[in-house]
Amino acid sequence: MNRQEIEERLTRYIQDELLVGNITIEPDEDLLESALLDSISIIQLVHFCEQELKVKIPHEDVTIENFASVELMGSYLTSRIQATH
Amino acid sequence: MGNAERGAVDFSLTAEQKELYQQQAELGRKLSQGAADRDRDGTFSSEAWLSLASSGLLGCLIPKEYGGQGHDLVTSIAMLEGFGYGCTDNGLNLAVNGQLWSVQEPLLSIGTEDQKRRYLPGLCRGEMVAAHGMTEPDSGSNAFALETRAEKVEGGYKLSGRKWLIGLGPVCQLALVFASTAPARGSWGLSAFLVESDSEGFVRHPVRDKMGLRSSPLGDLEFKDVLVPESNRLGQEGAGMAIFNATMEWERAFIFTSHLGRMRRQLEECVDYANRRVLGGQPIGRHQSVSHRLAEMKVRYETSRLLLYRTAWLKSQGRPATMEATMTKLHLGEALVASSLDAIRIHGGRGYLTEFEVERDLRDTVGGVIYSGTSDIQKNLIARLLGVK
Repeated sequence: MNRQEIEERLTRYIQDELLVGNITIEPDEDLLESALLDSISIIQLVHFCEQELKVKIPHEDVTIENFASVELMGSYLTSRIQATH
Repeated sequence: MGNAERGAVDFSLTAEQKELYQQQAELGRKLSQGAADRDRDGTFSSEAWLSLASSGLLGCLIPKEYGGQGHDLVTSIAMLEGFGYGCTDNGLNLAVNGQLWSVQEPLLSIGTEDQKRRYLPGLCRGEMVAAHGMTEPDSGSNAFALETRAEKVEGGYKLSGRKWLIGLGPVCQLALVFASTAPARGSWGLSAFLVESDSEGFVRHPVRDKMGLRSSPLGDLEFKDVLVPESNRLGQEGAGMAIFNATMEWERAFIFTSHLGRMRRQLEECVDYANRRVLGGQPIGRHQSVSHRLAEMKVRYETSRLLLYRTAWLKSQGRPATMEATMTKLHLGEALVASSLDAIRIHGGRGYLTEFEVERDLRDTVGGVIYSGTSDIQKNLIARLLGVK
């Protein structure tokens, strides 16, 4: 799975499963500062990454630097996949 | 190939696990002596704590290289349940599980090699007692609304703030403390720290009186510009929220493990009493008002055990178990209260009198619907995980 596919799946999951209403998010949109994602959403998002994208995420990596936007998540997850394969 | 090797569900205990269960039950019976006095006086028994360490229970899950027994998760659960089966001191039951799941486990899974070597052996030997410091007077169920700050200074962090309702706080030598290192980032600005109680400015406040679990001291911790070395930060700066969430998953799943054993023993005591106590020429168990309560207690015990062991099995397979851990906490918390109330009803007046040591279970279990996330918070989380937005 390449970075673009990861970001598309993350965007669909966030829009369809986590956000209330018809909200469209941009890849570089700060989801945390805008409070679109709360702490429970992050738990769900990490599960999604582990179950659906098959990327194991250490707790200490769940930081704002890696999860603030779809773009940052895509970058982080791509590097995790490359590091573990 | 057995069930376990195929990764299938198998909740039966092996011969070794049964043996460890029985050994811990025997220790629990021994350490129950004086439980009523400790409840009345609100005292923590350091002697009992050292006995727990000697038996290996405090280090059941911790690898041998860090001073533990190196047992797997399910075996550790069996030992903890066994201890609770024998032990009527619910405060002690809570203290063991509180330290293990909320401090030792995160230290083991997230700590640096140096941190593990510095703290885990002492915790396993019972020479150190550890507390988990998250809750503050103005946070509670809104766990991430912390006011405790950790300001970056040369060589580490300057910690200031106050934690309250901290189990084992008044007797701890080590605390896992959550504080904000970047307040503007809200819950994403939290970090976790291992703080030693002999640090200058670390204040352990006196024990707060409470309804039950009185042998497990609860109190406030205050940090007056405590200097915490950078080497004592647990995980990355800003990873506090994720570390707390992970810790809470372990705590929700297994904080009641020893209470589960106590629930089994409570049921056996109630069956025994229902057979012995004769009223109107027949044992009270012949009355459906009593026998139906016993049946409900049995269902509560079995469903609780299934949930808890299933969660343990999932976690031992490295699978996500947030939903299961949350259901375990909710179900056990409520089941313990309901069964303890039933035990009093079955025992009648004797159940209400302190000297018969039946009512203590009810006082000891009420806190369980509040600590480690209230039952309402568990329901909120379950609903969200179900997809309710």
